[in-house]
Amino acid sequence: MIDGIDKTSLLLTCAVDQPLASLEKRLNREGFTLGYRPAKGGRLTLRQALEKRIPNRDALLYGEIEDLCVSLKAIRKGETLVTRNVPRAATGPDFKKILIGSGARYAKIDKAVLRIHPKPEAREKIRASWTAKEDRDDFLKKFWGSGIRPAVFSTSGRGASVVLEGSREGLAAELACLRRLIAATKGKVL
Amino acid sequence: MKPRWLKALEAAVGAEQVAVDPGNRLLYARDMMSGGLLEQKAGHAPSLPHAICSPRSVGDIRRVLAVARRHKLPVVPFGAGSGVSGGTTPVRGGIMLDLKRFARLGDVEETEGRFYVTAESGILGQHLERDLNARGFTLGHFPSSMLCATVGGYLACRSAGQLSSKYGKIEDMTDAVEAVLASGEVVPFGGRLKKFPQLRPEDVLIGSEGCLAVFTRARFRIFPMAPRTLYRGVAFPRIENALTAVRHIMQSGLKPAVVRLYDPVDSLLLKHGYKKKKSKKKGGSSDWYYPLILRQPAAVQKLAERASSEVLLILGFEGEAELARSLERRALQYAVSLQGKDLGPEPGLHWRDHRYSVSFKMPKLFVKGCFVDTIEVATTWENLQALYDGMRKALMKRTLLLAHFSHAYAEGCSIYFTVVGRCRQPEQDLKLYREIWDDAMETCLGLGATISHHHGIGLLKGKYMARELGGAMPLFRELKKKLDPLGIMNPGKMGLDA
Repeated sequence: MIDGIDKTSLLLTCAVDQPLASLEKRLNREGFTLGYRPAKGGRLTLRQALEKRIPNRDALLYGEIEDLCVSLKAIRKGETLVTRNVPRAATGPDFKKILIGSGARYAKIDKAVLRIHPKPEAREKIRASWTAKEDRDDFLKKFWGSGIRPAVFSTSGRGASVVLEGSREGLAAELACLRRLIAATKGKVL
Repeated sequence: MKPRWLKALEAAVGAEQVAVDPGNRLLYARDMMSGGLLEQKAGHAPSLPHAICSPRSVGDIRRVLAVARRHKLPVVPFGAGSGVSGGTTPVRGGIMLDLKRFARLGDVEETEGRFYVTAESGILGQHLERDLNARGFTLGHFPSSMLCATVGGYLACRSAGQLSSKYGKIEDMTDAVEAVLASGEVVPFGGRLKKFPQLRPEDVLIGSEGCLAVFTRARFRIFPMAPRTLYRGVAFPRIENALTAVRHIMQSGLKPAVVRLYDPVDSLLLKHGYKKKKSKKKGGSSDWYYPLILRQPAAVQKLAERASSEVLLILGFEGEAELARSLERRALQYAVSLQGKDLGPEPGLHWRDHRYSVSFKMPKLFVKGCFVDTIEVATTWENLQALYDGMRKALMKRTLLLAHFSHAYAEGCSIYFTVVGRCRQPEQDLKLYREIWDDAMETCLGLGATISHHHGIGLLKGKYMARELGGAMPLFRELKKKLDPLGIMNPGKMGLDA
């Protein structure tokens, strides 16, 4: 099921016909996470996620499935197509991205190399609201310039919701920063 | 240019937008690729375009493409000519499509609590950043060419900036592109390619180096400017320790804005730079190392490496002051645990103040008889030391080789090699230059690395593309054939014609 985990580069190599839930469970046992949390994650296989490019709820922190996938092995017109296993390149379009999300129209994906991450120690959700729109707008600017890296960020009306996760130390620093920003922009933590 | 071609072009876009004089044709004949300069020094005849056309609108571009299709004339999209791979060299003549008149910047828009801006493709990177800064925002994209590179060039070559560890490469910042295909079809924001409706145009067109389309606009995600940036220099006794520290920092999710690790020789030069600043010595005469390099590049390398194995790491953290300090403190803990010595902010501040000047030192070396080029490759952490060692073994015999590790990610890193060589005759320089590239690319491909992290392929690396892409090359050719059936878009590039 899993061909290998490169613990130096934090990469997982595996076949794509397996449920994401079992992949995640296996990674958790080793102290890692995929960081890929689609809405119907439990029932999805990695192939479905790749072929349909299913959105990741925690994409702001970990990226979408096409960002998490470093390389692919696929079969195209009877030939094997392997994209280069490198962090980034400037060698034409990103063919891995072209294959992901296009069903099996251009190639049938067989294996994938995926980024993995240290399993987060903590996760927190903070919701806040502002009386004046200008204050909320001020918060948005301060927030995105602050260096906080949320897993989820959403707004509704004059409120905002932020989900943070990571190491305990990192999370504590980001939470403290977030509270300072909310207070400085006359917001109220709900 | 044949009179009927010129007449058709002038009729399409207006005579004032078309130049055919020898001076302009020569100016557009090459980009910043070192090999192009060496060919010029050796007296090789340049490939000249037939005409330079400066469109003002998408309609103009469509009309130029119609003329090109009718007369089977090549079209080379051109930004500011800062490329270093010969991507805009008009190898088969034709029309240079200079897009600098596409220089408008839209308003900052907020969508779902995030910020975006639309920029036309001909705007210079420096101007884009300046105008965004004036509104309190940044794109976060700072390639060393930003003073003379355009947004279209960024997209064409999948460029990376000095703060890529935090903001990513240009494709990460791009929300949507607008482009014109060879057929004249306009692909709007959020639109689809008629021939490939399942594919996102951004995935197909970004990185296509003018071989598939002409970019006209892009919508970028932007960020409010960080209130604080902290810089730090850390010295390590050996490169292995420093690489481990960088890997830990990236994998811990600290996301520094700047991560640059200089190898021993590059560290020596950098230290020379900021110590010179400290002692307040001024003037070009302090470039004492040029004559040494000129005499014996390989010997200088050995001497420098024997003098010190110490390497210098520059880190930068941006954000709210207290959070930035917390990130910096945690990164320094990793560094110190690996024998790193905190040098304080000064080396980082020196780097910040001189970060665009390195490129402008290169002409000095050319004038003094050397040639210089840069080779940017990338691989995973597991493979990184082997790539560094392999490239050194392949290239150090005949050249001075400097390297720094930048554009770090959780799973790997880019290595940016600077090669300085010299022969007595221009033709010999050219021969050595080509051998260096062959050796570098063979080594890189043999070790499973990528031959380009952010400079692109162009003319220079086209012959290695089939091996770089492997089974994806036929797919690339299929895209080319269907989107540009007449082969008019920037022919002779990216190994597509092989």
